[in-house]
Amino acid sequence: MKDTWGEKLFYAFNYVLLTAAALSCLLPLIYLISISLSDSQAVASGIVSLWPVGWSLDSYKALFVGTNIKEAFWNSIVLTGVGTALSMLFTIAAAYPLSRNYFIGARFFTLLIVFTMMFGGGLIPTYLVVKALGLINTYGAVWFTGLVSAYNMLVMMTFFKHIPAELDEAAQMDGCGEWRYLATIVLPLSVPVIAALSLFYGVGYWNSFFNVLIYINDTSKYNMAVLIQQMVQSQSLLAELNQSSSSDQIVLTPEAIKASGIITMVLPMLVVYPFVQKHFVKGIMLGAIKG
Amino acid sequence: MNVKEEGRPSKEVKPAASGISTVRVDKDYSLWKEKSLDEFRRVVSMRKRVNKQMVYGSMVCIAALSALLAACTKESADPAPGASSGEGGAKRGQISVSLYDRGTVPQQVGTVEKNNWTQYVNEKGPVDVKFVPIPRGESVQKLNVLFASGSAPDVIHEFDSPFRNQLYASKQIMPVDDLIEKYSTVYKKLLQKYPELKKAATKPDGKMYEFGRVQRLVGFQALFIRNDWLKKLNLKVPQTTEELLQVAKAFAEQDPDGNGKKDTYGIALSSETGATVDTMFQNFGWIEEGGKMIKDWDRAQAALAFKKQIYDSGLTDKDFLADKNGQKSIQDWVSGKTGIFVGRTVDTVNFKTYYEPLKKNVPGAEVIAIKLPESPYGRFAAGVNNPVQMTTVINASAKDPAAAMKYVDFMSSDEAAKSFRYGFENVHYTVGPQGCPVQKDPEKYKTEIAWNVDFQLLLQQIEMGDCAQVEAQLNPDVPLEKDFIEIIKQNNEANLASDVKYGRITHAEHFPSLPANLQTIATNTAQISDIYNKAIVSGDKYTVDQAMKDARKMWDDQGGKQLEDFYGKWYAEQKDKAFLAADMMKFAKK
Repeated sequence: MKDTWGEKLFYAFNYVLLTAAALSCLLPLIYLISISLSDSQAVASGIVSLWPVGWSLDSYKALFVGTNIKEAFWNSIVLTGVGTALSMLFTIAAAYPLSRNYFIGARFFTLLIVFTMMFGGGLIPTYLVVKALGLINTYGAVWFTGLVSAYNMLVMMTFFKHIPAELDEAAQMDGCGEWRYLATIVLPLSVPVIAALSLFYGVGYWNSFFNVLIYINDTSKYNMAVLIQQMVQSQSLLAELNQSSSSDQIVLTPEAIKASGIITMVLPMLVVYPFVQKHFVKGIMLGAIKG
Repeated sequence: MNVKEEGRPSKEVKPAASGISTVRVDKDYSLWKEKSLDEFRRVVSMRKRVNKQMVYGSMVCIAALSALLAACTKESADPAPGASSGEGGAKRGQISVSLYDRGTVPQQVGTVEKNNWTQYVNEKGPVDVKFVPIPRGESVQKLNVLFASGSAPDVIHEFDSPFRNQLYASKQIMPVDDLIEKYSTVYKKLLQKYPELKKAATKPDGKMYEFGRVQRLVGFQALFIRNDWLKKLNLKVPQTTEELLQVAKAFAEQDPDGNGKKDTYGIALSSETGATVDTMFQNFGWIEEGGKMIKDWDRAQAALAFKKQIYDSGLTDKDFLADKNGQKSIQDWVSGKTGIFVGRTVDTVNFKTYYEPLKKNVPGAEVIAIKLPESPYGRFAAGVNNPVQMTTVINASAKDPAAAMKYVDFMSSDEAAKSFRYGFENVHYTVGPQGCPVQKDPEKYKTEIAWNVDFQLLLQQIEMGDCAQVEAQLNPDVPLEKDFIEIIKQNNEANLASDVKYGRITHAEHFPSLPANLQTIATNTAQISDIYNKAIVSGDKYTVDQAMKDARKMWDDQGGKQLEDFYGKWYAEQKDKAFLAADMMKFAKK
């Protein structure tokens, strides 16, 4: 079938709009890459645009050579891997019973959880709780304070609810218990939402900054987000050095360090994204349409 | 001999470094792997009947849990790394001290809490010190949490004076007069030599609560002007604000860079340059008049009118308001597009920010630092450093305040200062022809010393003489650095000349902190600057007079009167006791 003139116009319009949207996301990233690869002199003079001026890996060297970034990278992976597994485990464990309409008090507990989306204890009370539990300076503090995201739990619960009840009935007839039903029927059917939520949790843990900063005192346990932030900060907080600073400590412009730090943070996520993306898109769609 | 000595410290340092970060993480990991495998096997044998998916599920679950347990138990079994060193020494006090973490400690020398300098403090110092890293960017937040949970360190180094005042107000830090009297030797002497240290440390209740560092008074901000442009256009160094406007006009319109295009700015207006225009007119919000501290409006109006004139005549970047942190104005300056610009001359890094790139981009550029031009309100210093900077307080719940005092004494001693600044003689430096230390090996200096600035919060730089000044840290054999040494000298003269006044009531760090309710008012009234900005860029549509009227109205509506009362009362009570502008001038080099 041939496209009508109107349709062609519509497509053209769509392409222009989408290209613009894509560029508005891509250009800043490209700009950052080009800044991070440019000579600091050129960055300071503001002549760098989308192509690096005077190739230089100095800002990456500053990030990688002689710093704890390798440990921080590994810490980030542990923090993200274990954290995501834990979060998923508990999210599923909460979402499944709450999705069963024969579970007495499901509504009450759901409301209780929704309540936490609006009200929180505040930083210092939370810190005191974490301290009383002996979790200070362990990743437990990061994992348990944000173990289940109420929003994610609701998405998963909604998804579970829309698995046809007939399946449940049939399974019960055959003598299948709750655990087995969950493991062999519900979870395999929920791969999309599991993938999507894992990615949410994963990105969240990968980027976790404030919790690590507040609860972790041992610098060898810092993750990438904190370490890189520290480096960037120290480049820009120069006012106070006021005569006490020693000569060649800082030769890089904060912009270059910032850029290379951001790229280093984003890159692993960029690599992981394509693998989860197809599930991700499907997961969101399914939850949205049915919810 | 030299070789041997050079080798020693780095050898001492290395094992400590490898011991910490890498091994710990690996241990964590292997523990995790072993445990989870064991658990896995047990699970399998226990539940052979359970179907396959179930096992996978519980494996993931148990692996996760055991990893968690491993992380937790390891922590409690392993005492804090810093505490162990130097035990056994008879009756050495033990304290914990906060230390800024900037992520700049090179891996070869260890981590923030354990490195060659923490070792130095523990070995040479009189007490055992456990350093508690405080992330620099979020220091106030972190310290707040630590205080609230009762786990704050005994000695706290913090630059933020409102935060220290807050600690004082909530009685979380202790008065130190008695401690100094009983236990101090070094700091006591400093107090006698520089009574201003006491002035600055004394809180409204009449007791001292803070320790600080004394530095020579030098020029901080510098009004840079392109001398080659002045010469080319046959202009003189501007002496009054009127002349400054003329020069800026010529710079903007007469093509001083000779490229045939009208692409130059006379003067920058964002960030520090804009603030310096305020300085020219002494527009700091508060002035002293007839022995009273009052809110000023005349100077604000004059400064605003001047800025508006610059903007309306097209002498500056039209988008200066978008340049929030001044980055764009620096770029314009170093690429040779701006004729008048305010930079700094207090740190060697300033050379690399303001001068070196400019000379690379425009080799013919010639920069001088000049006195601020005279305004109807007088002639003022562009900006000076805070010569008496308070940095250190002692936690009210410190168990061993005497040990904390000894630590403070050690950190402010000449010996420690020299080591922190230059390293060790013949290892890191040799004494040069001018009697100043000269670095032996820049690489070694960089890994072992350059990053230790956060150990220098009690470093009495004024005691270290000329060698510790910025000029001495630049190399006069490098032509560009030699130029900058000259510029630093010019700026010190321009800022500290006898016909130049320091326009503020006192350095911002010595202002009293506002109580919370007044803080809100201060934040609200700070939006007056939006009115001023609007007036600068709105041309004829929004006049200076109208802006001043609106600003005063906003000030009154938001309760600015309460601020006037607060500061007025503070000044009336404290003007003889507090550390004010006149005290600062005593620290200039005679």
